Amino acid sequence: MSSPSVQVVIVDDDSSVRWIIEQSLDLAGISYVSAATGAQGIELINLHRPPLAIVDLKLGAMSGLDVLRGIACPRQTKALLITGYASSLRDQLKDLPVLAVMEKPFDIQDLLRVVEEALRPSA
Amino acid sequence: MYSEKVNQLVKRRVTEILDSIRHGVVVVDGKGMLLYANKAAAGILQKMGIPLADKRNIAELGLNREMERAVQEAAAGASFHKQQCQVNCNGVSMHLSWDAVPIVAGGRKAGAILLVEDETEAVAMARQLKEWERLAAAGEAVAGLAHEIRNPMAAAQGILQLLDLTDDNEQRKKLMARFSRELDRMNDILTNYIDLIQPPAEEEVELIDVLEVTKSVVALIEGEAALYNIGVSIRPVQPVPRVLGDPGLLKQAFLNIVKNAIEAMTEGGALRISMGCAGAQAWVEFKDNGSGIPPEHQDNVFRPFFTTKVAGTGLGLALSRRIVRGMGGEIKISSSQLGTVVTVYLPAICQDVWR
Ligand SMILES: Nc1ncnc2c1ncn2[C@@H]1O[C@H](COP(=O)(O)OP(=O)(O)OP(=O)(O)O)[C@@H](O)[C@H]1O
Ligand SMILES: [Mg+2]
Repeated sequence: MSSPSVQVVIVDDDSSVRWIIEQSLDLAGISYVSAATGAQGIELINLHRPPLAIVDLKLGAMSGLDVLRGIACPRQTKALLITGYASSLRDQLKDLPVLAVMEKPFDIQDLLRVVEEALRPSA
Repeated sequence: MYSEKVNQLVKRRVTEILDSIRHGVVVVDGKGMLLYANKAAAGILQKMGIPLADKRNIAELGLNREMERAVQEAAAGASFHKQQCQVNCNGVSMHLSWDAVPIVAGGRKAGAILLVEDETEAVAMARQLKEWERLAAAGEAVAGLAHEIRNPMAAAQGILQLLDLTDDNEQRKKLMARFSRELDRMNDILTNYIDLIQPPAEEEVELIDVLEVTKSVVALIEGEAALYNIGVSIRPVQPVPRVLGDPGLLKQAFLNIVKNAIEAMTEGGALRISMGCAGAQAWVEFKDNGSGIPPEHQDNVFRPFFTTKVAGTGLGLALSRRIVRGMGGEIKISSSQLGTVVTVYLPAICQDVWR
């Protein structure tokens, strides 16, 4: 069984972006853990198997897509990708469990809407 | 007659050969009278709007002045090689490259040959390629910038929204401070970026003692190196290499390289710096036994914004290379699992003066 306590894993190498996402999830009372690197992100996702991962597309050497490919149980965890530059991304998303792509800067209300949608029991 | 037949055969063969090459060949006698033009020549002249058929003398062709004069001078014995010209005819611009050489028969001047090649397409292609390259480089740089700067933008936008949600004064103050930090970050990113694409304002060019610069860089990072248990050594040489440039910039270039080496050896190690001169070239080598650069990243390390570090900007090596190239030099990197060697090559100032 996965631990029920973690609803979202955040993977972003930028501490400010991580912080603002954490603040938003706090506001909505959603539980999360955060990773600053792709490798750590994969580890946390596979450990907690959360329903949602919020993943930055550009993570230093590793790409956010690499993180998605490293998810052991893609049926369980869907991803919300965030990126500063989304061009020509669509083709690469095939076969990956991506719910939505959100461009930075994003509205935290929009972010929470997507997150809550993803966490709704029927989803 | 037999020899007449052979003659005609040879003539036909030569004509066939000349008609199948893409160079235009025009032959004139000593007075500039047209003796022969191959198919390619007729084709090029036609493109220039010059029908060859009814012309007798090179002067009637209305070639560009330079070419016409060269043919006349060639008939008098002068040679012109690999000349370039651009002609405009009927609103179309053509790039031609041409040669004009004398014909010498039996030891006597017997006229001249004009060889013309139409390079219009090649020139257009080269231009297009350059433009594509420029656009690709600019696009890549802008995409990198977008990625980088939208992080603080995302944070700033979120902070504004959080500000809207709280009345607590302490909380608001904290958020404001954060907001201003994010603005600073945006500014830093842009400043780094501008440094990268703009030539340094006032360069102070002077004779630089490479050993001195290296020592001053090592002095800056010695503390950090000791913290990580990294030994740093400089192997001096005689005579010390000297180069021309701005010592402040060279120091920056070396510092970025040295910082990378330290950052690759957080488990301890050794950074060995050596230098020397080979002819007119000075070299400085920075050798670490750190993590190394995986082969798949080796092509990328000079790219602006390429970084594998959580807090890296990815601009260090890009800036170093810019500085070194600005001094007429180059940086080379080789790396394996055993560590990384970064070598800076610079044009050296003649050593004899210093002995
Ligand atoms: N000596 C080295 N050993 C191992 N990897 C290196 C070394 N030098 C450079 N690299 C690799 O090249 C990348 C780019 O280096 P660069 O100095 O341009 O940026 P950075 O060090 O990541 O960021 P910054 O210089 O802004 O701190 C690094 O992230 C690292 O992966
Ligand atoms: Mg660096």
